[in-house]
Amino acid sequence: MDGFERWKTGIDRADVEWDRYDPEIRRTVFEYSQHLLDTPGFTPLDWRLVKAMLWTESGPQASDWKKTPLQIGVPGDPGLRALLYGDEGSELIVPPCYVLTATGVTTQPRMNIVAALGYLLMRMANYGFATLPDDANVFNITASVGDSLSTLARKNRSTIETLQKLNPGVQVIRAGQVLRCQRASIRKVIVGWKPFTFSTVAQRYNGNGNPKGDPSYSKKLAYSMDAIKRRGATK
Amino acid sequence: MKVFRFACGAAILSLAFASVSWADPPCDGHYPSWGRVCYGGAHVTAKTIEWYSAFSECKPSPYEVIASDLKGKRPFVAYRFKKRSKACLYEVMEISKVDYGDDYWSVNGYTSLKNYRERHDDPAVRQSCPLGAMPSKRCNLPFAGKKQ
Repeated sequence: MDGFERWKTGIDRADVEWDRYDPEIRRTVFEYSQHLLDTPGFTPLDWRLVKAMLWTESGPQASDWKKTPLQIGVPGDPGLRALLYGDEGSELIVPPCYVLTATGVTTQPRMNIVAALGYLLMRMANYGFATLPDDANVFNITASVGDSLSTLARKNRSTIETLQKLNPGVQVIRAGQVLRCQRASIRKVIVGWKPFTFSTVAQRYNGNGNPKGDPSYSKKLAYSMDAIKRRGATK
Repeated sequence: MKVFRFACGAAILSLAFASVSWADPPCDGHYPSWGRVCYGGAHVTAKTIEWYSAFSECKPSPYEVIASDLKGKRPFVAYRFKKRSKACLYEVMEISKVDYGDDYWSVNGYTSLKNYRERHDDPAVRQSCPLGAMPSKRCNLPFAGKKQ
């Protein structure tokens, strides 16, 4: 019996215990989807994909099933570190209503699912940089000798792009010239999403895209999804 | 199989958490696992144990069996790596029966012997990986004798 065959024995024998986390998965997927709905190219996630991930790497036969149903947060896992402390985009992905802690993720199944889905989304998002206003207030500034758009932006906590947008046609800055300004900064933003296919999820999520990750992860996701659908789980 | 039976029988006589010298290794064999973190497997031979997963690499090391009970409700064997490799996060590796169904086992790693003894069920100091359904309630698994 090879590794895949041995793994699939568990799926083929799945009983109701395998559906234990359906409410938590549905709720978590819904909350993330609401939070990310306005990001470019986002389509609400199918909760069954997350359930398929759970079946792919865990199940009631896993000894930590009742604490950490998904494999995130073990010692040495850079995934949880990136989610909690990193600058890989988690601040854009995780809804502010979630308070994630290392202890919570490794002791509370709901928080474990929240972390795993957060990490998946963090890895599936495409990021870029954009000028965003820090507040809605637009005010006037007066240029001094030697000022440029660059120095004015820096002095007034704005950006060149914002000044250009508020003052169309302004090329050369003269001392005494009055310009419109708004506080703004260049920030990381989500600019799109990778397709949520089994192979992309496997590549991005499984083992952090590390070549040591399970090479059958995609195949197992597909097998799990079929089994979940056969049980009548709808979108 | 005789070797396995002898080994498992010998394990029954041992006391949990006592350091024991073994003429034959209990539960020797190959234990493949899967998942984002757990893909890889453990391997137990007469002289060495090793365990690979996505974020920890425990190369072959001599070991001691620090605890075992193969006849109780939750059979297990715990091994301590005597010479841990650099990328190995765990000092103790335990193979244990899971409290679900008749034939599911797991391989668990503990960052230290102290954590194994004092924080046995604390996921912050351990990694637990599911193993495939095992066809036997004993540790002498038909598929476990050969490295894959």
